[in-house]
Amino acid sequence: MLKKLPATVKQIYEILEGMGYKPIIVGSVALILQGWLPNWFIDRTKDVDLYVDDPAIIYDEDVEKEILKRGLVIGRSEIGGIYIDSDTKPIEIVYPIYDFYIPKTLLWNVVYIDNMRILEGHSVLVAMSLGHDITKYAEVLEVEIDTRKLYQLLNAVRNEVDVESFTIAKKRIDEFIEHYSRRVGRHVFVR
Amino acid sequence: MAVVNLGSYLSVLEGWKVCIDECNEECIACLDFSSLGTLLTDEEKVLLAIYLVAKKTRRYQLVAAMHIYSVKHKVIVRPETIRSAELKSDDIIKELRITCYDIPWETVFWRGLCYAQTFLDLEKPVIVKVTPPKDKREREKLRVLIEGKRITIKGKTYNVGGLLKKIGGRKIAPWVYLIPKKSLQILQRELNLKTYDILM
Repeated sequence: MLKKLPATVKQIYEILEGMGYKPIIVGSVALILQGWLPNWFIDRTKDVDLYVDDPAIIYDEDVEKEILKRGLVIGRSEIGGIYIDSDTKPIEIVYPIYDFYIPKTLLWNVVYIDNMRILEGHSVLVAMSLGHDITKYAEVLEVEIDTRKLYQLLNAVRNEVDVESFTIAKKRIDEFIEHYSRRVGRHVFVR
Repeated sequence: MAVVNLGSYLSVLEGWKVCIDECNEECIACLDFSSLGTLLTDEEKVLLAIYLVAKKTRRYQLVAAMHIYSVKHKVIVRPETIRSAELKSDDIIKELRITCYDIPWETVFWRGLCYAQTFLDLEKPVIVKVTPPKDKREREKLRVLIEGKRITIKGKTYNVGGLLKKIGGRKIAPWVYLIPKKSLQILQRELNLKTYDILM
């Protein structure tokens, strides 16, 4: 797993934690930190995602003030997301926006690394499947996943997402497991 | 409770009205939140109403109006509230008088948000530094054109007229003004860019 996260990530994490926001590291970096993906995969990620389960953060001017106070460079994406420049990778503070969010059920599964909340691997994959295709991770996965847990988590969030998103996510998880089975040379499908 | 004219948030939707807890013939949609069972503020109801209509009709302009409303009123709704409202949308939306399109919601949503951000960006202030001409008379002519005529009444000085007032700008220092980005073009046109320089 990654020996060290950029110092700025810990700084931002502590700022948000201090303001009561409970940030969680999600996305590919969360998988890398847990040893699910190889370290070199960090070169394929564009930023480090810090998820905050509070849409009101976007209107909290104190967040920007605290970040600027520490001499960090802050910007906004075209839809108002918060981007912070860093020595290695930019950090994006991701938050729920209307019906695009990480379901609460998934957010309960966290691990702690270096005193920071990281979304647990299976939850990361399910969260990603709700947004985009995840087969590319099957090619480089370095651990044996519990496919039963993937489906359990997906079913657990059924009531938190709309039918269309659930159906598409299930299809994406099926494809992910199929790719992973082909790569390891055996059928790992467990439902 | 409310009739919201979406044209106040997005000019292309002028005349498109959403009625909440009441209904009249002018509305594109009539919604009633009594079945939702969640206490919402008036602003949250409006935001949720525009969201439900936008999602039902898959129109990116409505998504844009929704986001502009959210930013201007600093109101947000939690995903759980949206989910509850969506599950009861057939009960909440009493009437819908515009066509619905069959476009993936994700496409419509992000397009609408980017569209909204273009408009919000135009409202942002820009600092304009005007380089005045060296000639004293031309300089005073330009100053009056931008800032208006200076008149003194009972020892107090006022600026009357002027382009700055018309475009909603402010003077922050001699020849330095704060104006909405969308008014920059008006300023450039009125001052005739060939004759004077404007620096941003």
